[in-house]
Formats: sequence, C-alpha cells, structure tokens
Amino acid sequence: MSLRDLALLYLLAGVACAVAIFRSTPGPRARALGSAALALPLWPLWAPIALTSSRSGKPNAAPWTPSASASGSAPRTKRAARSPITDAAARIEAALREGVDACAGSSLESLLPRDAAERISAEVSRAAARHQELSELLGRDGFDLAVAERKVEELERSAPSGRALSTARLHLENVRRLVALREHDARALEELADLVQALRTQLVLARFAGSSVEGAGGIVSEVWARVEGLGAALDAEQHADAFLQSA
Amino acid sequence: MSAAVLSRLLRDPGEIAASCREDRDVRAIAVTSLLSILAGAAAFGGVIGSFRGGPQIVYAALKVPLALLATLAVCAPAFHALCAGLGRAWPMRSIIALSLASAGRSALVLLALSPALWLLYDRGLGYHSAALAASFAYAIAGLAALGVLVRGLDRGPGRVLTALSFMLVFFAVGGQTSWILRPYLVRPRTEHIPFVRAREGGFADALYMSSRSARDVYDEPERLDPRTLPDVPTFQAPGGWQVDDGTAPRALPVRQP
Repeated sequence: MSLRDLALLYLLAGVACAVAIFRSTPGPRARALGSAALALPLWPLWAPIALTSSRSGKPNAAPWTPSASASGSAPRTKRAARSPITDAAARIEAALREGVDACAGSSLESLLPRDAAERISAEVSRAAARHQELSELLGRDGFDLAVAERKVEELERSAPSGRALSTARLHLENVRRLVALREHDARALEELADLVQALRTQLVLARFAGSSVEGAGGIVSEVWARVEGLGAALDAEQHADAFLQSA
Repeated sequence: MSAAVLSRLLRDPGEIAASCREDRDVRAIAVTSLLSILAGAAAFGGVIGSFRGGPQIVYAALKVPLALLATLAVCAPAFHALCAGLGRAWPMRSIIALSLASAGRSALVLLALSPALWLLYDRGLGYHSAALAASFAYAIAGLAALGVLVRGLDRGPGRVLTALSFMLVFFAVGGQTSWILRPYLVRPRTEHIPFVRAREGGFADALYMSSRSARDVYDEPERLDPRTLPDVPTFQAPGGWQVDDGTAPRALPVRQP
C-alpha cells in the first residue's frame, strides 16, 4: 500500500467521521459544521470527543451540579426536615450553579471557576452535615442545655463544693460549646448564602450589561474568607472530637 | 478557543488534568489544546526553519505540528489500552483530552521559547549548537507536558508505571514520525531542500548507529576485490556524452589576469 492509498483511506475515514459528527452535533448548524470540519483532518483525536461529548459532563450540555448532591452528606440533608440551614445550603448551591453557568466560557470565568465552586459547595455541605449532626446530638436527653443548667443550679444549692458539681459544670460547659458551634455554623452559612447570592447577581449583571466586574473581586475574597472560616471551624471541631475520643 | 481554558492550561495544569480525568469540559479543553498545538508548534518549527531560511521556514512550520499531531493520533489508542490495563479504565475522550492538554501545554512552552531561540539563531549560532538549543527547548516543553500527564494520572497504584509506559510509547512513535518527516534544521549552505527526505532506515536504526558512533565503533567498509567485479561498461548517455554525476574531479578555475 502506497502513501497515497493510505492518505486516501485516512481521508475517507475523516469524511465518514465528519458526516457522523455533523449529524449528531446538537445546536447551531455553524457549530456542527466547524466540528465536522475539524474532524476531517484530525478525526483520530477529535471524533472520540465530538461524538461522545454529550455523555461527558461539560457545562454547555448539562448544568453544573454541586458536589454536595453527589457527596455522602446529601441523603442526610434530604432526610432532614427543612430548616434555615438546609435552606441556606440550598440557596448557596443554587447561587453557585447560576454563577458558574453565568460566567462559563466568558472572561469572567476566572472569578468563579468550576473547581472553586465545587470546593465551596463541598465545604458548605460538610458544614450543613455537621450542623445537622450537632442539632440531632443536642436534641438528645444527655445534651439538653436547659437540663444541664438546671442540674448545676440544683447542685449549687445542695452541695456547693462537691465533685458532682464540678462534673456537672464541665458537662454544662461542653454542652454550651456544642451549642455555640452549632450557632456559629448556622450564622456562617447564612452569611455565606447572602454573599454567594450577591456574587451571583454581580456576575450575571456583568455578563448581561457587559460592564466590568468591579466589586466582584471583593465579594470573591470575602466568600473565600468565609469558606476558610467554615473549614477552620470544622477542623477545630474534628480535632476536639478526636481529642475527646482519645481521652 | 476559550481564553479561560488557555489560562487554566498555563496557570493551573493540575486543575486541567483533573477536568480531563473526571470527564468535565473535555470538548473545550480539546479544542483549545489543538489550537495551541497548531500555533505553538508551527511557530517553533518556523524558527527552526529560519536557520536555513526560505521555504524551509514554511516546511518546518508545517512539519512540527504535523509530527506532534500524528504522534498523538497514533498513540491515543495505545494510551487508552495502557490506562485500562494498569487500572485506570477511563473513557477514550478523557485520555485524548489529557494527551491533548499535555501536548497543548508543551506547545505553549515552545511558543514562549521561540523568540529566544530565534534570537540565538540570529546571533549566528553554529549548526550543532542550534540543534542542541532546539533540543533543549523541546526538553523543557516535554517537562511541561509531563507535569500535566502525571497530575492527570491521579494517585493510585500503577501511576509511575502508566506514566513511564506513556512516555515510552510516545517517544517511540514520536521519534519515528519525526524521523519520517525530517529535515527540520537545515544548514544554511544547503541548496536543495526537500520537504521530506528519502527513506533511510528508521528511527531505531539511527539511534543504534548513533549510539555506536558515539562509542567510536564504526563498521568496516566492505572491501571489494577488483578482480571479482564483473566487467561492466560505464554508462554513456545517448550521443556519447559522459554523464556528470558530480563525483568526477574537476579542474580548478583559472583566474584571468
């Protein structure tokens, strides 16, 4: 087989691939034509991508789904009753999705790239799951704050210097810390939800108005600071849990 | 071509590699990488061709991207099979996107190094130094590609083996493809420049010969006994003209007073 025969066979395969790609590409015909033209000389590299891209998770084909929905915490969140925290997490994820879709493929993409949105979403889902666990824990008998406070008051009246009193005080202190952690998570998620919604609005406005994204950079920095804060709080809790378990 | 993908390709190769691995955004990555390969490799080829100048600039600008893309086209199925065999049964499009992203990043590095190489050539670099400089630039670009590739083969068993297998296949195929499409760097005094040289063995033969000559091992030329040679009359062109094949000794030109 000569080089000319080989080139002819290559070109024939390219034409077949181009036709298949043109017929299977959804959307504007110009885009399909461009895709088919690219397949003509480069079909070994381009055809597997162009013919199967509808199955891949590209942004134009399917909207971005936050990692929380794919993570293990999602079923817990779904099982849980609607609460301000689940609402806040849902608001954050919806705003992130809209923000990523709004700036996908534009010059704004660097402000809220897909991987950054996924990281934020992962932190949010972790925080929401931890909040849910804390809420369930604090709803149990042994972790009731009011009961713990009443017990300390009773012991202070009956045995002001006993060992039982110090134990009850330690228990009360721990329950208070758990309550504070839960409230910190709730507050942080609420604030983050407002910030991410503001960022989404800024990005959508910049895209449609063609204006600059002045101010969006500041919001992005603030969002990241809050996300870092969420992560730091979670890490501290995990260290405390590990310490308590080892003790 | 997406400027965002181009920026990610340059600034965040780990993220691009993760996108390929996780089958996200592969179409945009593939298109941007292909265009990067075409632009970067063509510019680099043009600079190499400028050592001789003239049509060689166009020839090399065409041949360098052609060699790179042909190598990728041949290697992609092998990469897919190697990945699957070594515990990473990813879709073909992920493998191709990862290969293209690696090559695209290396082409962008070649594009970045082209002006420096051009300057060196313009300053009168010798042939061997020019070849070394081009090889050095290619090695840097190869490292940039390797960075994307290794990041793409996430942590897990067989990561190093997979990367080494990829490199082995790529060098074997790339070497032969480049060998077929040579010359790229041509001496300035060369008069006739072919687009592609005539077949003279293969890349492996050349490697073998070069390794022997580097060790000062040369084959003894075959000595022929004139008595055993057949008595064949020399070729005469029609009309009795002696054919001048360029090997006959010539009289030196005499300077006229």
